Amino acid sequence: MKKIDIKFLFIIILILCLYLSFKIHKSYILQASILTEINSNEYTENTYNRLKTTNTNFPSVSVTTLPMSGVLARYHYAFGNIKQSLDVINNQTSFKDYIYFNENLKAIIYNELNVRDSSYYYAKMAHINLPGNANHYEQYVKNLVALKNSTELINSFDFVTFKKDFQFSKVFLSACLALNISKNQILEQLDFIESYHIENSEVRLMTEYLRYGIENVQRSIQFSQLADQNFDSGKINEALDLYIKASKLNPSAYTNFENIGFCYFKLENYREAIQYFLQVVEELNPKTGKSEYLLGNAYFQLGNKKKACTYLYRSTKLNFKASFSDYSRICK
Amino acid sequence: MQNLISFIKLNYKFAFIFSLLFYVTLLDYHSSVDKVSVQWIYLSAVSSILLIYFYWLKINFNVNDFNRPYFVSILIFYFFSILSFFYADSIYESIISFSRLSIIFLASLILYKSVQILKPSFLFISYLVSIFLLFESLYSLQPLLEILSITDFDPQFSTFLKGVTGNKNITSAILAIKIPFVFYILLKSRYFLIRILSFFLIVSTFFTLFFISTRGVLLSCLFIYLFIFLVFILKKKFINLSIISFPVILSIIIFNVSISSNNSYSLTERVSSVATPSESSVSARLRYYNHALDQIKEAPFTGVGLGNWKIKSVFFDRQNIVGYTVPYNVHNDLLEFGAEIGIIGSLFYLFSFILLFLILFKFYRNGFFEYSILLVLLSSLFIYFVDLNLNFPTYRPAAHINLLLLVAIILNLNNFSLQNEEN
Repeated sequence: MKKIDIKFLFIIILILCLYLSFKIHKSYILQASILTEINSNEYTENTYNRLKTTNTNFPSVSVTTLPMSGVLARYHYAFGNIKQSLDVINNQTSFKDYIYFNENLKAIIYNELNVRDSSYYYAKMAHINLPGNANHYEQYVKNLVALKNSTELINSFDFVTFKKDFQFSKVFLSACLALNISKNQILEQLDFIESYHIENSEVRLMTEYLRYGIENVQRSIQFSQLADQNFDSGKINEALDLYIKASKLNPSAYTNFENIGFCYFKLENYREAIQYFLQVVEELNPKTGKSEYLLGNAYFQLGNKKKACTYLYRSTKLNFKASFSDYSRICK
Repeated sequence: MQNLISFIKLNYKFAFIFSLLFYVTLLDYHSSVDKVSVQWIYLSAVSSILLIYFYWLKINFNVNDFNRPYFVSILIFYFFSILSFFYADSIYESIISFSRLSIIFLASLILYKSVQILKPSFLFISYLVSIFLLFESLYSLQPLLEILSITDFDPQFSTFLKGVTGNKNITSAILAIKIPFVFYILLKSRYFLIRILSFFLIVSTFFTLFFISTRGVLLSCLFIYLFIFLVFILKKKFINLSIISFPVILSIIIFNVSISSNNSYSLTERVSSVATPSESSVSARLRYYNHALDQIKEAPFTGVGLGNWKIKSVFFDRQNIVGYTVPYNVHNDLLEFGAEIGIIGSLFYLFSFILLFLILFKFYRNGFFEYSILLVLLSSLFIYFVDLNLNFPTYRPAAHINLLLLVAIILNLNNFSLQNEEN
């Protein structure tokens, strides 16, 4: 068999591959900076200058599948070169971008240029095609607020695929507040958001604004703060009245009910105190362990050791510090 | 000792080639966002150097090399990969992927030819593999021991064990693929000290693997070792059976002692959850497989173009994507090639594996001089094949280099004989 030495051809192929690999490696080094900056939304001039001299077609997508042309356009936009940004998006993406990064950027740019219909068109397209992306949703909702389209806004939340991410709830609630949407129109959404994000103070405050009105909630906060001052200076009865007023204006704020119960506890009216602590534990359930602790102590004062220990134990499970010593003292 | 030195002298040329190629696993990031970019540069550069070294060694390629069914099958797979360029949404991504496949192919030829011409002994290859296994396992073992010296092990700490590859699935696969070679040393080496060292290497590697706890690897190890136990029992090799059982049992005992205070971390639970669709990574994989199958149904003969699945996968998984975290891979290379280059190309890639298994079977049936070599190759190939069906080792040089070695040995099995061994 005649021997064919094709090593030379192989070396040429390998050198070509080496060149391509080197180009990709250079892009990957740049992408290390790009991804950090995109995630933190802080773009540096150094990265921008390096990106401008890079071929965004090789590779055409980043390691996270963002179109490299879209990334360049994002940097152009971040440094105020809007025309160049649009130019890159429209002319330099050589493939179908299923992540809709470019469409979202177009929505941002047209929003800034106040070209409302284009911004809305691209924002909606980006959101519908990637409904689990909070940035896309934010752009879409911004446009709905600008267009005062409350019906579409209310429906938009149903289309979100990852509602457990509180960012979507924040965007939705702030848009509802901006459009003064009545609570009756979004009861289902509010119930859902409260059930998942009750521990997020921003989201909780916005749901309270929507349920009881901004003015009522703010007045409730003022009453509550005044009540705190009275309580600290030993005026328990005055504090009690103010907490009751605050709770009527904002029945979602569990702290008011907890404080009413604590006032009754201080006044040694344990039966009344128990009613309010139970309301916190059974209905509002903030899972802080404080109401359970106070409930346990109230039952103990009434001589009901069994119930006292039940609630003190629940409080220890919620890691409320003071409950550990009382549980040991009363129940062991 | 003199025997050992002359044994090394006989094989040093192969050791040089092997070490250069396998060093790819130990490379660092060098400022890159993903260390594969460094690995591809290294592998293409080293392969070029080795081809020049082949000039010096007067090693030539001839037509017969490419007439082997394995290489024919791979070349047809490459043909369909090139054909898919015409259907690719982004031809640039196809070129990138094809350049990587080309590097793999040429590195494979280099290893194949090295084994064919230089005729290293299987035991010597096992030594080399074990040395690399030692270095690779240390990358995971060291943080593991640090964690255990401070606190009880929690499942969430397994990310700290991602080790040399930067990905715990790939790390555990490349460790597991190499272990059978160390077993071979344990059974065959004439030197007591080397056997003791290999014993501890097996124990420490299994110990690390149990903590990394990659289900696919654990399951394939379990399956393959049950098979080996069965073979030894059928062949009445009870001494061999006890020799290979002892380090495994010891590593399980040490693992259980180490996690005694943490009942939630159980090997059996981890392995049994492989078939639990409710578990998030299992359900995600099943979803990716369905997406790839949908794409294959949509374009069975053309595909989306080599290297283009990462772009198209976003379309299929758009309802499940959070932020910009995309699937990127199918987590099954055969299905991914099916979706990218069409079903025919993918079947030829599958066929190349079937051929390797068939060659092993043929040698076993014909009474190969050392059946334990066949068991080592079968075990490693099986673990790689399972990994191929659960992860994406093809485009990971650290994982794929192991397959290249297995291919080189399996295709040259008729070159191995007892004469090449230590004595």
